[in-house]
Amino acid sequence: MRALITIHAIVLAFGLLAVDARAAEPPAPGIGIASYSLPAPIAREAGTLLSSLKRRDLAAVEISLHHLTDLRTEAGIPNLTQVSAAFRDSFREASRDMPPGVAIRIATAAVSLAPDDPDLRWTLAGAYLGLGFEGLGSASGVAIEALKAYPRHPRIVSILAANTAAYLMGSLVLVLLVVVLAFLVRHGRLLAHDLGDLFPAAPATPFSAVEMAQSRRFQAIVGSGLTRILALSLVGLLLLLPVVLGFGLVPSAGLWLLLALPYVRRAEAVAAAAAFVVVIILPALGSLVLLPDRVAATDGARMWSALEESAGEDLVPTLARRAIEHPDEPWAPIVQARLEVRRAPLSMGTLDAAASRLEPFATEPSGVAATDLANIQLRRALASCREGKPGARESADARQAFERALRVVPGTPAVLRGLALSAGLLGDRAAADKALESLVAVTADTDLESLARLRALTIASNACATPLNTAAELRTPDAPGWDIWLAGVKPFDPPPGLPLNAVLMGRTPVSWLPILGVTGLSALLLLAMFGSHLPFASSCSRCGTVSCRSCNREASGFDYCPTCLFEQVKPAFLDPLDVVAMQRRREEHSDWARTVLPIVSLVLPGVGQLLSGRPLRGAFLLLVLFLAIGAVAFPIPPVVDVDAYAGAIGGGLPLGPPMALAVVYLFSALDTWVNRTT
Amino acid sequence: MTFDSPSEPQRPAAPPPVFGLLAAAFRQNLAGTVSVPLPDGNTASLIIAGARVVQVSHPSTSAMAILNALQRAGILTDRDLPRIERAARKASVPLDDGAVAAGIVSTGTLAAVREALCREAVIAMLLDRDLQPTANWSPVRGLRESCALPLPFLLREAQKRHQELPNIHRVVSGPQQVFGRSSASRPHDLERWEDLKVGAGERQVYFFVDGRRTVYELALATCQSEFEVSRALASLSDGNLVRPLNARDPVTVNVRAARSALRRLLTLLVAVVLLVGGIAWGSLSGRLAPIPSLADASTDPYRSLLRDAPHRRILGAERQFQMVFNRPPASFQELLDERLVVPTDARAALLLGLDGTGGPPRGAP
Repeated sequence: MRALITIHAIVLAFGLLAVDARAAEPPAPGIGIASYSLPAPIAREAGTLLSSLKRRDLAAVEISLHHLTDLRTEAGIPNLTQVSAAFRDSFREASRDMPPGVAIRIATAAVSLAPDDPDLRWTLAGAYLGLGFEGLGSASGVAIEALKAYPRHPRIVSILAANTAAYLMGSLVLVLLVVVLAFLVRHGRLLAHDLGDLFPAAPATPFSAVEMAQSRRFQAIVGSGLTRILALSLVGLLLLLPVVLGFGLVPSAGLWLLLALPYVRRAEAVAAAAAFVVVIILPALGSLVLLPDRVAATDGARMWSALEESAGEDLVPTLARRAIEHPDEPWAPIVQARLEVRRAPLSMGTLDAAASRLEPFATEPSGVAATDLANIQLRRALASCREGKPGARESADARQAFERALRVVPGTPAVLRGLALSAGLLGDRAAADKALESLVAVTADTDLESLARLRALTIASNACATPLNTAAELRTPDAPGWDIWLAGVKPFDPPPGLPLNAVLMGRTPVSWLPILGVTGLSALLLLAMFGSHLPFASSCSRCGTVSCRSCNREASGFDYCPTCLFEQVKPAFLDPLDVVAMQRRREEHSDWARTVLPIVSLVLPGVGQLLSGRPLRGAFLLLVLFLAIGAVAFPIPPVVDVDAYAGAIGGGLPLGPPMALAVVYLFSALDTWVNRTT
Repeated sequence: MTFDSPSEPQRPAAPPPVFGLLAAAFRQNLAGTVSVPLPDGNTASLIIAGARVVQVSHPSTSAMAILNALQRAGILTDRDLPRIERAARKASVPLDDGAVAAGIVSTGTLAAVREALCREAVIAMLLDRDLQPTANWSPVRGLRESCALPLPFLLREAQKRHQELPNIHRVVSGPQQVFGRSSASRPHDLERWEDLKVGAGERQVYFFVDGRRTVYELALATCQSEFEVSRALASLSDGNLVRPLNARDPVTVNVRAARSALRRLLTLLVAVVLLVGGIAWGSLSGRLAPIPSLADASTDPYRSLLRDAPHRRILGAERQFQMVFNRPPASFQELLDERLVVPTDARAALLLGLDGTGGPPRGAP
């Protein structure tokens, strides 16, 4: 097989390059923890909420929840994720002592603490499940809402993805190595045959009784045994070569898989394609694992926290620097303006300063700056209230600002709310009603109570009577969370290495793995198209003899298994002992397989299936097995969200991993029993 | 029953004497012994009973001849002969049965060889016109049958061979004639075994035809008689599947197959030694290092992640504790009691200044 030479030449070339690839190993990032602080009243009320929950004072819990939600809205904080995480941790235990109805009521109220926190919605879904079958429908609805909430909270998604990727990456690497080794065990004889074809040939199959007698001679037996040992040693050495050259186990496994590709069956080809996909995605998984740590201390993460959660004064210098470094980026000025407004919600000077920051970004496409600017103009109008009437110029400015924002982001509920309020301040009843109608039309689940409150505040005297309450009705549109959170960070940049990089990757840069994977997939495609025309060795489906087209033709002149052909033409006088010996040799292999494979399947589920030619089932069993072992060995996920910490352990050890282990072993045993004759 | 030569149909000739005698025995259902003096001075005898030849005494069917045939076929080796002799003596059986007694061949194999040799010896005598047999038509009692060759089969086969001989001789000149496959001269014309439209015997002969084996060797390889092999070759030649090779004709079999096993062994050995030597040299000279220095492990970001996780848990737990109780935790035990951390976080707590004695936390890692 000439392809072997080419492949190993490539391997050697890669090896030489890999030796010089040390420079590709950048230093590892250090620990990075971003944090945000809560305004003092919110922190106090959060303490009240959590201590009430510990005391099981459910009435106080409900009151605290509503109070916290009001405080959050007044402070213009979209999510109190820190409080919601602590609440979830306490609620998980407390809800066991609560009637389901109360638990649902409290969990529903808690969702308002951090509407973008999907975990709170899962908590609510769990509370609904406490009702039994009756709550199944509602739980499903809330679960869908939880899924929808994930894209709105990049940090939670990234930490969830990082922890999932951490478990998955370890398991996938192990599955990859086991699958490739199983392929080599299964097809090693074929590989050795093709490798042997590079050397001078010797008649292998004895035809005629004379040749058989000659093959039974001592020298012939020793010679044939030595040849076989040397050929297998050569295969072993060539397979070892990438590892010795410093490729590491994962790239070596990829190269071994490339070598085994010509011999795989259809199901194995699918498994091989999956293995190459794993090789391609390993760097991405590594990036996912490290992403939260990489992002945590960046400006983007801090700005996102400031916009979607809360921000402390310590962020001000960072924002100032960011605004100077990235003058075209609106987020730092937006956060600065919000911090200023939060500090002095109705101070004309502060509002003017905040407005001046936002003016240059009024046409920014997400509409956040335009809406914030309009909100500030409305606050200016409220700040200008004298004897129950707002300033006419300020009110007109506010209305203009909202109309401008509506042009940037048409139909946005936050803008329509502001437009209704600003029209109300100007006394334009019809425009206010029209804006409210539009708001109802674009809002999926309209809260009638809040709508009534809003409508009441569109009367100028009411708005001026309670300016802070009116300002609390203002909303902001959703900011492009991912863009801000990942500002300046490329999430899928190749990581500096894989876990245990020295062993798994050797000196090979991780960025080469996708190249190797794509090469493998291309080779698989080419083999699927032209493989039947290529002279690779194959194993006879009837007798198991390994031969290739050229060897067949050399042996008998026909492209036909020489052993099976000889069976058809063997002389009548042939010593039956020879026939029996041939038969016994064939059966020895199947006997070995029938004895060993079930044991292997029971010891390490999946390996027996891989060796007996059921690769997809085997790989799946191995993946579940390794995931379960990983979850048992490391029950606490490695990536921790300090900003939304929800405790280390919740209600004892998880049941999932041990159950998964039991299911995998049971399934493997059943599968072995069902397929015992094949 | 007539015995006409196909080449001279207009002048019927008398059948050979042995043929005539056995034909008469078959027609009249005779049983007895036919003695045939052979040209070399020996006498062959055939015992006939129930329209079958049940015993053949001929130099080519003797115990030694059977053992020679087994040896030629490769079933026995020279070293087996003393063993066979010992076994035959011990079991008080003829030498050929000694091979069975010694466990070297099965009874079935020996019977098949013996019957084939008897058949060929009888057919050869049936076709020989120079032999003058004498018959004693009295049934032989207490006979040990060594074969069971039906007379009709023998007569028909002899007649058939007599008719086919001229055609066969046109193609097969003798036992040293070498045949090659016609397809060997068309290397790009791939033959398919399934497409061969020939009988089982011819297929067997065709399989062994390789441009090197003589008719004699083909007979040995297939364990057929030379006549059967010649007949198969003539038939294959008619079908344009094989052709006789002259000494000048090139032997077109692939020369790779003829290379010795020793050469293959040596080249493999050289390759293995070179590879092992290369790897050993690379490793000893420091040019090869499969696993990079372990110093890299200290900067492994994944290890950092695992190493820092307890610190992060402690920080998160402290914040939560502070939020609930409005004071920092006095000790690690308090966090543990609130199930905010796990026992293995104790070391991280100590590093952060949160020990079991109740001292307040002193900072981040």
